[in-house]
Amino acid sequence: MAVRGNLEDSENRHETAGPEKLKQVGRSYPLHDAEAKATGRIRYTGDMSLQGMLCARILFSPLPHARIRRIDAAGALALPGVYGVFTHENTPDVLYNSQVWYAGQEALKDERLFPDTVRYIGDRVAAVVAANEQTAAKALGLIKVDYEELPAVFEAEQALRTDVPVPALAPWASPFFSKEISVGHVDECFEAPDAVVIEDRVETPKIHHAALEPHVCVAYPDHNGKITVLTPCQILYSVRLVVATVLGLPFNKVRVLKTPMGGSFGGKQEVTLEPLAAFFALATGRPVKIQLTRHESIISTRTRTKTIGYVRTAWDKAGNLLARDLKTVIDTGAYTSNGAIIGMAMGKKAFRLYRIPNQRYRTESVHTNTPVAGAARGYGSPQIHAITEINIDHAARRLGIDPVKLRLRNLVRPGDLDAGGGPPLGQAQIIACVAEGAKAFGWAQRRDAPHGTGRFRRGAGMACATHSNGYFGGFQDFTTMTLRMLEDGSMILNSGIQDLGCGTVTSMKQIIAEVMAISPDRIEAPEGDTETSPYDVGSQASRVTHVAGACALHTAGKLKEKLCREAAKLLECAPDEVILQSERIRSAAHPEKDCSYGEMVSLIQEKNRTEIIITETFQAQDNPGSYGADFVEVEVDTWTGLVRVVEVLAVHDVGRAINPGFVRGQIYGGVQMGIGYALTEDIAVDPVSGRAKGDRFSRYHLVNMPDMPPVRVILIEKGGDLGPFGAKSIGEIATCPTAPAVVNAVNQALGTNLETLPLTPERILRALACQ
Amino acid sequence: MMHKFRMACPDSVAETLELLAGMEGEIAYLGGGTDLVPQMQDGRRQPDWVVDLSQIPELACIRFDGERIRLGSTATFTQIAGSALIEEQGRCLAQAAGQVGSVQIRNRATLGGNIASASPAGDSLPVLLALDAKLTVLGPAGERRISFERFQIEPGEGLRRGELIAGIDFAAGSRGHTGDGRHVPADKSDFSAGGRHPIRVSAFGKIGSRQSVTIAKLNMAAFLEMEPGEGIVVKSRLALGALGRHPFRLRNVEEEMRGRRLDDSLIVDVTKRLQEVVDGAIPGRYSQTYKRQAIRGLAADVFGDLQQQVSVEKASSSNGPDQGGGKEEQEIGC
Amino acid sequence: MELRFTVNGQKQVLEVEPQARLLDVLREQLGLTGAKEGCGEGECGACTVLVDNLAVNSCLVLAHQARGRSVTTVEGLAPSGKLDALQQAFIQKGAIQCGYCTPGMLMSAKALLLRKPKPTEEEIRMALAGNLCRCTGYVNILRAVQDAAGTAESGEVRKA
Ligand SMILES: Cc1cc2nc3c(=O)[nH]c(=O)nc-3n(C[C@H](O)[C@H](O)[C@H](O)COP(=O)(O)OP(=O)(O)OC[C@H]3O[C@@H](n4cnc5c(N)ncnc54)[C@H](O)[C@@H]3O)c2cc1C
Ligand code: FES
Ligand code: FES
Repeated sequence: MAVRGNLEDSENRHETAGPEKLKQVGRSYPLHDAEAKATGRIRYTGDMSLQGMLCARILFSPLPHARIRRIDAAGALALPGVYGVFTHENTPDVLYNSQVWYAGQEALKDERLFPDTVRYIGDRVAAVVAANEQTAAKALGLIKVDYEELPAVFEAEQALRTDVPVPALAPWASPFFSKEISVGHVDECFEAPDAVVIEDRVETPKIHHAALEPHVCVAYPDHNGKITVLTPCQILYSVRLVVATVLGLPFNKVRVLKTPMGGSFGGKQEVTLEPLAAFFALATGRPVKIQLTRHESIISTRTRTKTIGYVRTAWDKAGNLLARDLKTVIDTGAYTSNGAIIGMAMGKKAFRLYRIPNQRYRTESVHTNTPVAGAARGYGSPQIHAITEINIDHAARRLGIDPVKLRLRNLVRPGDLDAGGGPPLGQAQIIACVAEGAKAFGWAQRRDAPHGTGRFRRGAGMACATHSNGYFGGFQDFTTMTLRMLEDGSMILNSGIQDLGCGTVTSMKQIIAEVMAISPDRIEAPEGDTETSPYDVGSQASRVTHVAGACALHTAGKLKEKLCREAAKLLECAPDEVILQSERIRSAAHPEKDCSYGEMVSLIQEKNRTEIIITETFQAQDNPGSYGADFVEVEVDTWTGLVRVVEVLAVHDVGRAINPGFVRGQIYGGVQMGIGYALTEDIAVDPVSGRAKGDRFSRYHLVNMPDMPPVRVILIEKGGDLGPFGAKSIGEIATCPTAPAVVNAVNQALGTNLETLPLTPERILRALACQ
Repeated sequence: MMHKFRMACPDSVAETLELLAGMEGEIAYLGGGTDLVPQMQDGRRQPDWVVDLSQIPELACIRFDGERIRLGSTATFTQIAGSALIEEQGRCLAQAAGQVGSVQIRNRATLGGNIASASPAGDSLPVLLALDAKLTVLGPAGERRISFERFQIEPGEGLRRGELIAGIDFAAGSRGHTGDGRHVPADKSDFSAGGRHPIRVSAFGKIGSRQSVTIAKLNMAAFLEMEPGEGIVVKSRLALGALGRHPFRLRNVEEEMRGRRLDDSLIVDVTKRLQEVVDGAIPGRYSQTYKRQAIRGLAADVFGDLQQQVSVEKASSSNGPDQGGGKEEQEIGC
Repeated sequence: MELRFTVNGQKQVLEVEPQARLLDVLREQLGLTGAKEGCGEGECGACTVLVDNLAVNSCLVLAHQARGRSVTTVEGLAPSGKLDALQQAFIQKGAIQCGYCTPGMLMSAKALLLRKPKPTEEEIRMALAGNLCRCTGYVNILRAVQDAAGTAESGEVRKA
């Protein structure tokens, strides 16, 4: 079904039109699989059933820290229909790190399939593989485990104290990672006699990604010792790496296929269930499915890091940001995961939003006996921006300067360099975002409007954020794609892309369609398969549109050259005289002799004996910032502490929207997640028991439809960087400015300085009581 | 995954009671399943027998018998919230019903299930106290009638093995009916003040952690009967939930309200008393600090609603009493 | 135990365990995998189907409670292959991202429109309160329902 762009494409887009008139890029096509999703035809992993498939269920630790003395699986094994019980005694003891995505990547390896010492409530103790879910569940209840309880630590700052007699979790010291980035003369600035120093301690919670599809995976063996893993993952090659490592298989004996993604947000980026499913399949010789419940997904997979941020800024009276001293304490939970990288990811953002001549960033990562943190939409950006943007508003209050004005004075400008030594910021359009946003939001009026003195108080707030566009400047970042045109003129893109439901497949098609003068529905762009697809770094680091999209553009360009070259031979003209238009091909000299793409490709095969196919590797060469500013109005019920977000305006510098409908969709969803981050979402590990209080949806509240405010979006599209048609990332940055904007609005409404997220009614009333 | 159990799907109450004789072990009645099914799914409940009441027509009615409003125990919250009869005769029940869970929950969840589940935060429970509702309970030993309040707190008065809640009833509450359920035709009114009828209003409110689909952190129901001329409170029933094991009546506060006008100063005084109630109910609990503040908001919502209704009632009382709730088309089931 | 009911217009007679939930029977015995299990406790709405045209969470209903009833799942929305107006609107308005919430959203919206063909915005929001979506922020879902109902306003979603 070909539906034309109809998502109000022309509305609220500020572009500097490029020289070329774009036909496909800039249009809002629906997702390639929207109809399959709307009819229930699409098969997610949990919907799949293979001949002879077994079900695995996992026994999760009920204790936060304990040595397993003995596991008695006899009762479970005796149950008819049980194919195996797996524990630390009969599974590989290979240690791995769940977030590595390339061979040779350094990372602390502290996870194994089943540990002999469990480190958090939710750690894996054992698993049963059985003929069906009922049997597996029943068998699980028959496993007897004898634990020796060990002391546990649940709070990051507790884990840092050397005077507390709690053993470190692992052989590692606490903190297991620390690092400092420093530019200029930070201490001197704070000592300057007329500096205004603003200090805050901001705390951000562990949250659940809450993809509506709980974690799931299927693996099956073949007759030649190869294991195929079907998984809704973000990084196929990361899955292959970890599975092959744990199982001790050659890489070409592990085949990973990306299945339709029921939402991820980073939650399915790391490798969690895949090596288990693969091992069970290998051990039983049967297909095995592991499907977690919501509760299990929340406690046993990944969360956003809990982060405590100490921030001090020094200002002059005019509002120039002279220096900033930042420190983060990162609670990565019971296993390392990305606990080291994420602290650095946070730090890097701190140098890319404001012009700060003197800045120091320090980070310390610790283990606690709590659910494991990992990748989560924004990869540290929501945390660091909550910390820094709440502080900027605090400063604005103290300096008596409007927060928009204060920001406009200090924000980075297009062409700025990264003071921290990272890649140049590129066409950083944050000033445009803030200026346009303030105007469209009616900032001045809303900000000055009376808050009210009664039960309900209104306030307006805003915040800015930046995020990356790939790994350039940090890690290797490249993609390879193979593109061909078939004998009927249709096309196949073969690549290692993984669409997370954000529209990657369709975006790639639009980019190729633009170059090839073809309709996007004439292109097939299947998602990745490690056996047949070329390498891709994965759907991570906000790199897909900017880097993989650029690869699609370059590959299509090369394919077009080849088509023109081959066609020129048959049309008896020079390659640059060949014209491609609306899926037809001709030469400038003989426009009457035109034929369809299909006819031409067939002719090329017949006469020139070659295929129209190209394989290209594209290496990222820039990593500009994506920028965004959210403006929020809230109404606070000062008697019950409940906050209603009245309206949100989100302004984003996306370079160029390949598909504006998708871009807006990302922003709407990002705002929903950001409001939850600000107001309700918290796994809330109990400091005494180590048990997550928000361990199911009845106790972990996402923003639902009645609470979702209207959201307006403005896109700034000035292009200029090296992404396809100037495109930059949106999926992660979309959620970064929202939470601090909401917090700033609440603080303005109430005259408080709330800085522990989420702003629960209890916290709000307590802050009001202290006034 | 649920454990194995046996299931009975009777078509009538009589059949249900007959079947009981042959059942051994724990029996669980099934209404909408919104509480029981997930509890069985995660193993918290493991009954031997599940008896589905959801397709017994006689248990699904909502009707007015001339004196009392009678609800079958499997009336769903969707039916209750949408019933004109309940809206008119027991408004606080319609309000509470409309705020239970989501549409999907209300389409299944039953009043009987809410009562039997006896969650401290159950939204219908303070309402049933405020309406002074009575239950009809059927079991192997026959039928018994009991006030909801006693059913809830008195040891041994709750559900015994094999007993089911068949119905819930309360006195019709609109103008034109006396507080004790006698219907008073307009022309024969014997009430004071020149034959004018007392004003009866009720309201429910709750505070959760979001606007909708939220379990109450606090809920409250209030019923007031007022003398029509000066708007003096003659009688009231006030109940609070989510503060301890069961919701409870606030008889002291009710007493203090008697003889006063429903004005802002009354609300201020009542709010102060409610805060004391919170302090007394959950002293030292983490949630005490929050709830003693938040109850202000709840009181303002509920009493604000009552005031509003009173002014509407007063305005319309000059048009004479309405016809009560006896309209046929308002009844469901039976 | 024998279960007789109608699913998407088709009469079914199945042998069903007492403890099977409606969701399990639809997905496993009838292969109708449109309804999803997102939470198993009535909070997310991914399992929403219609029973006698009322939206219910099929994870909270025992299959036998549907005896004699008529169940409609997302697969039954376009019986002849022609998409329902809601399905079309969801596709065209960008109301679908990962799609995991979509079948449940569509069924809740369908139940609403059956009851109330021209709902107000507030009514739509309340009707879909029991359906969580993590991808779309509900903005385009609201638009899609308004579009299908013919109540879409031009311009922005809702003024405060
Ligand atoms: C997502 C969600 C949101 C919810 N929100 C709310 C809310 O806002 N407010 C609220 O109060 N509740 C809420 N609930 C709880 C629940 O919906 C209610 O308690 C409901 O009224 C239970 O009724 P049911 O018919 O579904 O009970 P069932 O689950 O069928 O039964 C519950 C219990 O009552 C027993 N029982 C049922 N009927 C009878 C009878 N006639 N006689 C004797 N015993 C019986 C059962 O054996 C069982 O022990 C929510 C539940 C969910 C899943
Ligand atoms: S799975 Fe039924 S409501 Fe979530
Ligand atoms: S589209 Fe992904 S949850 Fe709604």
